[in-house]
Amino acid sequence: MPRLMVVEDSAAMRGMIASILGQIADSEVVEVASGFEALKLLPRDVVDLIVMDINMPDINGLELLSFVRKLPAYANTPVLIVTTERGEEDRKRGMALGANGYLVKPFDPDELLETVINLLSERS
Amino acid sequence: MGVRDQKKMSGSGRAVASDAVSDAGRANGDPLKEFFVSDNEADLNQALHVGEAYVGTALHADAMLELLAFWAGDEEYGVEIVQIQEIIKVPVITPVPRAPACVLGIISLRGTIVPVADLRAILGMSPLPAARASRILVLRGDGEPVGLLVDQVSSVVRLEREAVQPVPRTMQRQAGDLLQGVGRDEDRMLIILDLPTVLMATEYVG
Amino acid sequence: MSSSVFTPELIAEAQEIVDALNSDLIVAESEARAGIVDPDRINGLFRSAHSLKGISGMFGLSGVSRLAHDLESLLDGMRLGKVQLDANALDVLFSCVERFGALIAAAAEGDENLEVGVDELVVRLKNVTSGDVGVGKTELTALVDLSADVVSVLTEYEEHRLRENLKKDRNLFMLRSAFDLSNFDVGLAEIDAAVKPLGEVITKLPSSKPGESGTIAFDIIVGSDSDAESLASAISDDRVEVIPIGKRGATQRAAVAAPVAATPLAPSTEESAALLTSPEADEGATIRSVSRTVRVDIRRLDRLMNLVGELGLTRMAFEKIGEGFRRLQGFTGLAAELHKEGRNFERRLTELQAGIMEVRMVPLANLFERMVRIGRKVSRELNREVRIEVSGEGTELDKLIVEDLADPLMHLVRNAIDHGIEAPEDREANGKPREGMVRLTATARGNHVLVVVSDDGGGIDVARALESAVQKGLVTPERAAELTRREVFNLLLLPGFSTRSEVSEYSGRGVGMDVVKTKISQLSGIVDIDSEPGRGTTVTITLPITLAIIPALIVIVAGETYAIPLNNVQETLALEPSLVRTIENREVISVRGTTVPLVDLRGIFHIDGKGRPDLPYGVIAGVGQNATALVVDELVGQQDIVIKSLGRRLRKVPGIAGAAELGNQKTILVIDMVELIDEMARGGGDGRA
Repeated sequence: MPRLMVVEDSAAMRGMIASILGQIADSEVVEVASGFEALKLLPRDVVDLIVMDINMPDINGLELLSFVRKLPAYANTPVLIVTTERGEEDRKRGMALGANGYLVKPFDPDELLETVINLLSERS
Repeated sequence: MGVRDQKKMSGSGRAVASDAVSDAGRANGDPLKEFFVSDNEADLNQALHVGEAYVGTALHADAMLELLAFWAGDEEYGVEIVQIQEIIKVPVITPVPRAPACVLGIISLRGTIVPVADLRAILGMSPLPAARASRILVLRGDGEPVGLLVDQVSSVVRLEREAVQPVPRTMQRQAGDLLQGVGRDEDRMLIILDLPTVLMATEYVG
Repeated sequence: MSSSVFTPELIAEAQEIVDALNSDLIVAESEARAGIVDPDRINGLFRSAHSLKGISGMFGLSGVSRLAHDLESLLDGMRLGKVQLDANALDVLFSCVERFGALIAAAAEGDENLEVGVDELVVRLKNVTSGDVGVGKTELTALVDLSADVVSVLTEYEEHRLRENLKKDRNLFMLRSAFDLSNFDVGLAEIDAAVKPLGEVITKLPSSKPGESGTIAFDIIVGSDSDAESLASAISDDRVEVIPIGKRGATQRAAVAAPVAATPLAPSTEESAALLTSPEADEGATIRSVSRTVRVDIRRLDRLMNLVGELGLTRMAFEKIGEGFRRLQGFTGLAAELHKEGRNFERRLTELQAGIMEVRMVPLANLFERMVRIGRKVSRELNREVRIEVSGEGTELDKLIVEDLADPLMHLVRNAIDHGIEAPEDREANGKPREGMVRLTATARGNHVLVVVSDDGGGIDVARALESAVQKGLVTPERAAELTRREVFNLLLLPGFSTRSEVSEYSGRGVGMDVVKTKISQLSGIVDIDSEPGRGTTVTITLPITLAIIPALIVIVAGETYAIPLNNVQETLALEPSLVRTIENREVISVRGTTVPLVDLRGIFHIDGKGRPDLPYGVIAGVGQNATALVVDELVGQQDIVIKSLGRRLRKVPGIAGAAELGNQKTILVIDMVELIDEMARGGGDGRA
C-alpha cells in the first residue's frame, strides 16, 4: 500500500496531482501545501514517494529535497520534482541534489502516473 | 460513431525518470474525468467557440452552414452550431409538474435554472430513459438557455447552404414545421431542425 | 453536472492569485515611486504569475496560460535584476492583471478558450526594455563563507539575491537556530519579523545536523547593513546564533562549523528575550496572519446552515413532546423546565445561525481595488486626470452580493469618469483642480450597507435630462413640470433613457443606468442619484447585508423534494387517519374547530410514484376560510433558500413559485402556496388524493 506525498502550494494543482496518484491501486495520498508542512510530517511519517513543486513560499523544493535526503529514512525515497519550463536551472539543481525524476508543467497526467508507477516498482 | 473513441489530453508534458517509462500497471480509474475531458465533447465544445468566432463574417453566414449532428431515434439531426451554448452530460433532472409533456424538468447549470426538453417527445417518438451516450444540447434559445435531450452527439458538419433541400413530403406529415430542411453530406443525411418551432413546444401555455 | 473541466475551486484559486497580483502591484507601484522596491514584492509577483501559469496550463485555460507565460518571463527577469520596474512596465503589468480578471470571468462562464487581448499584451510584455544590469559570475563560494552544500540548494533567484546583497556591500549572516519540530514555523516567523526591518531574509535552509530528536535546525541567510550585534539584539533570542559569512574578511571561519548548541556569539538583552518567549509573544500578529485563516467553500457554509434548520425542527419536536408531558400529572414541573431549556436552545441556535451568516461576509476591499484599477485604465484612455479615492473598504457584505456588485459598480465608475469628470482644461477654466476626483465609499447602516460612487465633475444638467426624457416619451410634458430634482435624476434609471447615440465605449457598452438599477434590484437594493451642476454627481446604492434568502420548509411528496416558503406556513401537524374525514368528496380535517381541506400534490401535480404513507403530515397555510392543509410524506427540515425563476418558458406554470438549489447540488421546486389556495378556492377539482 504505497503512501505518496504531494507537496504543492497551489490547491488546484495539488488536488489534481493527488487525484491522479489516487488511481494507483491501494495508494494513499498525503497532501501538504508547503515545505514547512512536509518538514513537520516527514520525520513522523513514512512515505514511499514524494512529488514536490520547486517554487514554493518559505522553503523551496530544493531546500526540502536536500533536507529529505539527509533524513536516514528518506535517503533513497523516490522524489519527483515538478517545475515549469522556465525553471530549467532549478531543475538541474534538483536533479543534482538527488531527485529521481522531474515533470514539466503542464504535464500529461498519464506521464505522471507512469513515472510514479515506475519509480515505485523500481523500489520494491 | 463512438462518442468516446477519441482521447485528448491537454498540454504537452515531458517526464524523465531514471528508468524508461513503460505502460505497465497503469490504473484505469475515472477521476481524471473531472479535470480532463477526454471525450470528443471537448472538441465539440471547442468547435462551438470556433463557430461563434465565425458568426458575422458574411462569407460563412451566407455560403456555409455549420451544424452539430446528433441522433434521435433512427435519424440523424442537425442544429446550427451558433445556436448551441454547450453540450453537457445528463445530470439529475428535477421534473416540473404541469409543464408541457415534452419538458423533462429543470437543471441548474452553474446556478442558472435551465428547462430541459426531450427531443424524442417533441418529434413524436416514444421516450427513452437517458443512456450513457445521451447528451443535453444547451441551446442559446433567445437569451434564455434551453436544454434538449438527444440520444447521442456525433460530430460537427459543414455544409454548403445550397446542399440543404426541402423536407421530403413523407416527413412533412409527421413533424411538419419542426424541420427546416434536409442536408446531405456524402452518404449522410441530416435533418435540420427549425429551432424556434421546436422550442415553442417547451413553453407553458395556460 | 456540466462537462466543463473547470472546477469552482480552480476558478476561485485563479481569481485569488489575480487579486494577490493586483494588491502586490499596487504596493509595488508606490514603492517604485518612492524608489525602493522590496525584492520580496517582485518575487511575490513572480510567484503569482508562476502559479497562475501552472494551473492555467494544466487546466487548459489557454489565454490565461499564454499571457501568464510571458508575464512570468518578464517578472523572472525583473526579480533576477535584468529588467527594471518602471512606469511603462507597471502599466503593462496592470493591464495584464485586468486581462486575467476578464479571462477568468469568461472561463467561469464556460468560455475557457477566450484569448481576446492576449496577443497585444504579449507583444507589450516582450517590449518592456531590459535594463543593463550585470550579474556577477564569480563562484559564490569564493565570495561568501558558505559551503558548496549550502550553495547547491539555492534557487537561481536566491543566488541572485545573495549576489545583489554583496554588490550593495551589505553584511551577510547565517542565523543558526534549532526549533521544536512541531512549531518551528512560529519561531521562523518571529525571526522573519525581527530581521525584516534591518535587512533581507535571503533563504531558510532546513538543516538536519544531529540535534535532539523532535527538533529541527535552520540556517537562515540574511543580508543587512547592520552588524552582527544589532541583528542579534533585534532577534533577542538566545537560541539563535548569528554567524557572519561575508563580506569577505569579516568572516569568522570557525563559526561555520559551530554546532547548534554553541554559545551564541550575540549578546542578548534579557528583558526582550523574556518578552519574546512569553506566551503572549507567541500569539504575535505576524504569526496570526499566516496561520489563522481558512478558506471555506461557500457550499459548506450552506450545509451548516441547513443543519441549523434541521436542528430547529428537532427542537420543535421536543417542544411537542414537552407539551404532552405537561398534560400528564406529576410532570408539569419537568415540562416547564424542558420548555425553558428549549428556549435557551433556540437562542443559541439563532446565535449559531448569525455566526454562520457572519462567515459569509467579505470586505469590499478586493472589489474596490478592482474598481481603482478599472478607473485608472479608463481615465488613461480618455485622457482624463482622475484620482480615485476609496474609503470604507473594510465594510462587509455577503460574498454573493459582492460578486454581483462588480458589474454595476464598474458601470458607475466608468460613467463618473467618462460623463462626470471634465477635461483638465475645462476644469481649470472653471476654477477646479485639473485632477478630478472619484470617490468610492462604503458604510454600514444597521442591516444595510451604503455604497456610494461620487465625482466632482460637471454634474447632471436637469433641464437637458428632462428634455430628453420627454422626447423619449418617458414622461409627459405636464408631469415633467411637476417633478422634483430627485425625481428627474431617477428618470435616468428608466430603461430607454440612455440611447445608443450617447453610448461611448466606456460608460455605454449598449447599456444604461437601467441595467445598474436592474442588477441592484435583483440584490434587493435601491439606487439613488443626486447631482449638483458644476459640483458633481453622487450615486448611492443601498444594499441589504445578506441576499434575499427566505426561510422555507423542505418537504417530500411521493419521492420528490419541494420547498414551501415558511411565511406561508401556519403550522404543521401529523395527519392521523382518524382526523381525516371526507365531505362532499373532499378530504378535510378539523383544526381547532375549523374545517380545513386537504390538498395532495399527488393529485393536483399528477405525480406518479409512492402513494400516501400511513402517517403523513399536514402543512397548513392560509388563515380562516382560506386555510388549506398540504399533505406531505416527510418533513425534512427548515432551510434558507434563494428562489430562482424557472425562466420565461415555465414561469407561468401555476402553483410553482420557482426553483431553489439545496446544498447537495439538488435542484428543487418551490411551491406557491398562495396560488394553490386560490386554485382550491376557485374549485380546482382534483385536490383530493
